[in-house]
Amino acid sequence: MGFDVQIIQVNPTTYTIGVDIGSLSTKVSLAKDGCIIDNAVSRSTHEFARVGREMFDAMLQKHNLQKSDISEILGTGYGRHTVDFATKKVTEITAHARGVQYFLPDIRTIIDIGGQDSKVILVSPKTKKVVDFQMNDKCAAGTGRFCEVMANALQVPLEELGPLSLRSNKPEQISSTCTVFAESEVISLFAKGAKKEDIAAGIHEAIAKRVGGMVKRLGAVQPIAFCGGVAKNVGVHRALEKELNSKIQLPAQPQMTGAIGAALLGFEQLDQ
Amino acid sequence: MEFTIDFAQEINEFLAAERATGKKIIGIIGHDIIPEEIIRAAGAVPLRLIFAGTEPLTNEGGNYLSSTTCVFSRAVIGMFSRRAEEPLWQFLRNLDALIVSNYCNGDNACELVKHYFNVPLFRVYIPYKRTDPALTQYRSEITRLRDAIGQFCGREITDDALWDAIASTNEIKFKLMQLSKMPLLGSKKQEIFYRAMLFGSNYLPELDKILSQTDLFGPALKGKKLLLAGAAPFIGDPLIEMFEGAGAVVAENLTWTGTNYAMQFANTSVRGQASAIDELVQVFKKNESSEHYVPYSYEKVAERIYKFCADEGIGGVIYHILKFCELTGTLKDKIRDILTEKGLKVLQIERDYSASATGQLSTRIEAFLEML
Amino acid sequence: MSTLHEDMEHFGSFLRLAIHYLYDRDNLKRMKVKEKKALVSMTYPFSEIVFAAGAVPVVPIRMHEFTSDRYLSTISSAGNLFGWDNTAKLVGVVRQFGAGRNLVKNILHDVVSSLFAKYNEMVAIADAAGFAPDGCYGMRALYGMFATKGQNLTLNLNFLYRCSAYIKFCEILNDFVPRSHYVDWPLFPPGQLSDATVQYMTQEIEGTIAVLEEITGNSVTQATLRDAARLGNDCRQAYKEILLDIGKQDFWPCTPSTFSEVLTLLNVAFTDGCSNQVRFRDDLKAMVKEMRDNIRNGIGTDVSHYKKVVMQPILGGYEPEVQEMVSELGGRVYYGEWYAFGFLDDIVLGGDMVRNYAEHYLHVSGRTGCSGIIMQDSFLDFVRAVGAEAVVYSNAFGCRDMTSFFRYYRERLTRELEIPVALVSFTRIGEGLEQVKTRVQALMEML
Repeated sequence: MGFDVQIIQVNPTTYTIGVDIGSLSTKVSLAKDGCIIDNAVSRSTHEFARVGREMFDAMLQKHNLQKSDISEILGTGYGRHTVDFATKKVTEITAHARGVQYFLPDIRTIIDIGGQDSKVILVSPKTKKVVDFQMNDKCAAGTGRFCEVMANALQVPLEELGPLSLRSNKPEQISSTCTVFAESEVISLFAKGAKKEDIAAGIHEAIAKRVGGMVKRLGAVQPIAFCGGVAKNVGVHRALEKELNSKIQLPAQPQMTGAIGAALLGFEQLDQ
Repeated sequence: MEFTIDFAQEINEFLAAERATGKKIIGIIGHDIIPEEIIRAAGAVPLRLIFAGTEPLTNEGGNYLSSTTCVFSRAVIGMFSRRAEEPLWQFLRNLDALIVSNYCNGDNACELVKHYFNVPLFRVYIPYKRTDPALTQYRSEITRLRDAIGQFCGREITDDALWDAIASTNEIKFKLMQLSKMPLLGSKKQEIFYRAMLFGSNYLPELDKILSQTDLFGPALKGKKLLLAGAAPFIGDPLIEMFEGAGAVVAENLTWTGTNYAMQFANTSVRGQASAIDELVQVFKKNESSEHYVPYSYEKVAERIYKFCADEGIGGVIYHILKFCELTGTLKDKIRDILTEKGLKVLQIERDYSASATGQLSTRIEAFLEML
Repeated sequence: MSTLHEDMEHFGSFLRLAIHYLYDRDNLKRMKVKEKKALVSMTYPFSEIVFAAGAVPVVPIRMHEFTSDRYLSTISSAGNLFGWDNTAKLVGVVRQFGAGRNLVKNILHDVVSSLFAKYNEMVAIADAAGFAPDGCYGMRALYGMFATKGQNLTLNLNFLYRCSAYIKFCEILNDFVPRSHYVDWPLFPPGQLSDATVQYMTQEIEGTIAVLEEITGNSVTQATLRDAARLGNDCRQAYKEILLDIGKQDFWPCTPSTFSEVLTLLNVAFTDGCSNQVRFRDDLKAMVKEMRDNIRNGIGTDVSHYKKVVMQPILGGYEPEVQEMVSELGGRVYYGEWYAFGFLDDIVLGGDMVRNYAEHYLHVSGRTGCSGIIMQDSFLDFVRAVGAEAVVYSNAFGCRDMTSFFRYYRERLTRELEIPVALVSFTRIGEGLEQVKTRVQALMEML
């Protein structure tokens, strides 16, 4: 008795990982066949390479995977050069653009404010690729670091700075060009008895002015999204909307878009 | 002098009224090279852009110009950018054209008003030298400007019209020169200068009243006498007030918004013997203390500063520099060295129109006055 | 790291030009002291007028010693003795051996990078003197050059080009040089050159000629002006052939990185023609020939898949490491400042040569000087000329002229030409390379 045996080739599952090493936090995303299935975030510390590796290993362990199961490991972010186990490196510009599009496919402009830098990215509606960008990575004004310094000066926990600012009716004027000067201004205002919420609102307006300037210089187009760790700050979000006179969308996981984008790019670039 | 909404409205109303009579409003960057008489001779109104920047304005201008372009030019672009929304700058909507020149990089940069804000431009190219061929070139340029402005305003600018305009401009300038010698607070004098430069002949009655009411030989102002040189203090810049607040007397403002403006006048006694254009060329020729001049401009600038100080018994000079202004910034140390060698004390202050810069100034001013 | 060493055995002409540019100090000294020639400073490529007077144009940095001199003197002697092709082959042979490989790498890496190290040194001198800390890198480098070598000059020729910062800076040079002459450089409304302007420029040229005659004791005639212009035109032709003809092809006679270094060398050498017009012309012609021979013999690289990247503007200062970054990411870099400015357009040889020189200077003025917008448009002309696919725009800190209108430039480039651009801030060579790399890499990822 013979059998016709038909061998059906089942496409093996393809796993890709994105590792985004930022100045303040490291993020890892795992994608399966181009869909994100898990994310993790941890504080970076000064040992970028070690933290990145540990998080990568933890992700593998969690999903019972070996390194050999991963088709592509893409490193991105400020510390991407330390990801020595990565198969490829990609800038955070390209990674964030792809990551935001995962949540908001029709997005045209992306504002990313991280721990130590801020950037604005323009995306083509046709190709979905980055067509222009502008970065500020030379100065802390308008970055997560700015928020940290100001929260400290105002003696407010960082996570409360945003909600506090929303209670203001009359934001104080604060310098948007220099963190050191702005800090002096905050301390001075605080000492003179200005309301904390008004100072907080002024801080957020200063960030929005700084970043808004980059957006305008680039000739940004709607719709606009906001990602990066600072996107969790509702005060900055509102201030940006006010500065740009425009609705600004938030991807579901704004802090993770870099790692997510890297993981997805790893999958998409597999045949190239 | 604070640039208030009221003053901005006053300027707006003045310009709007002039326009309603059919006159064109032609802007010029407020330095000492473009003869505004040509604008007046065309029956138009010169609007000197003598308004100080602020941090928001320079940031706004930074959306169009790079961050190392001079703060004043960034502020000017910022003013044009905000003129639709901000009441303070709405008067700029009356502007029919702007004259830009190669006086400096900042002036050059203002050509963007055409590309981004649809303001027509007149361009003038000024030679750096004062040789005979350079004067011929300058003559050719201001003749071209005269013809272009005449065409723009719909009338030929005759020699007589230009002489008449020179005479009326001279009248303002002579009176301002008189005023500059009077024992009035520097900030008060400055406000009068601004108004005269902005409102022209319309301000003459008021100017006459002030001159007649001020006692030329009145009691001298108390305080250490200073001369202000370098970058001009513009409307909205509290610079002179800050010095007065510290107890000084700004006896002389030797910048584009002060005596430097008033002393650039043509000689009307040669009317009939020389053309008005030729006389304007002579004004240019004599202006070797212009920062635009080459060579050895710093020597001539220092020489003029020293002469004024010697004549008026002034012991201290404030040399004011705007951030990224090369005409005042590049040679500031050479000017300072010449003046200190001659026994004068010099305070160099560099500013970028930011609020924090103004805050830091008080300490320097007080320390400088203590030195005198 | 430059890959120049891999190309060297087939690129004797590069070696030759590099030596004539970098290792010419003794020659300059000899011309000044023994031949009693006048050394005249040159900061823009208007060397013809100086050559016509029998004087020697020189960018002051070339009077310095470079770290590569100990190798260059040996190679120079070998080149003169054995010929440049043989010397290049010898260098190639030496490269085969272990220690020789490193030796060769060092020599050839030093060729261009020692020049850039010297620029940084010059800027450090300016900074130590407190000169214009907010001035552009290019201006501060010039300060250092003049402060150290200005006393060797017979005449400092200052062309009053539109940037008023540069013009005021020229005033400071008087401290370092025995004599200065200023050449006013009139501007005119875009597209409206008048007789009066031509006349003024002509008079300025005549005045300059008079000064040159005085310091050299020579007569400048129509014939000498024509000969100098003819040689200058030959140099321009060769330069354009390399930049736009060979440069645009899909097969390059060397690696992409080496070609970019050739363009770097041409950019600096063109300013003063390496102080010897005939030699410079011969060097360029030899380079063109060698390149064509290499292409014909299949020696070089298929660059069809390398993206064309223009780096501009570079006069105020730029990061040379960018070309390595671009190369590693699959790109090839072009520098074409002199093309954009109009310096590579020929001087007319018929008729009155003084007027022809004036019109040539005014042509440059018309390309860049009379309007910031026109200047940016001229930069874009070069982008179109090479068919660039991306641009790295060097924004030198303190530049308040050439890069002021970047927004306008970006809008035209990205919206009309649909070419992406990365803005790279520049303060000093070798500074902030990680940030530069992020921008360059992001740009290349867009392609």
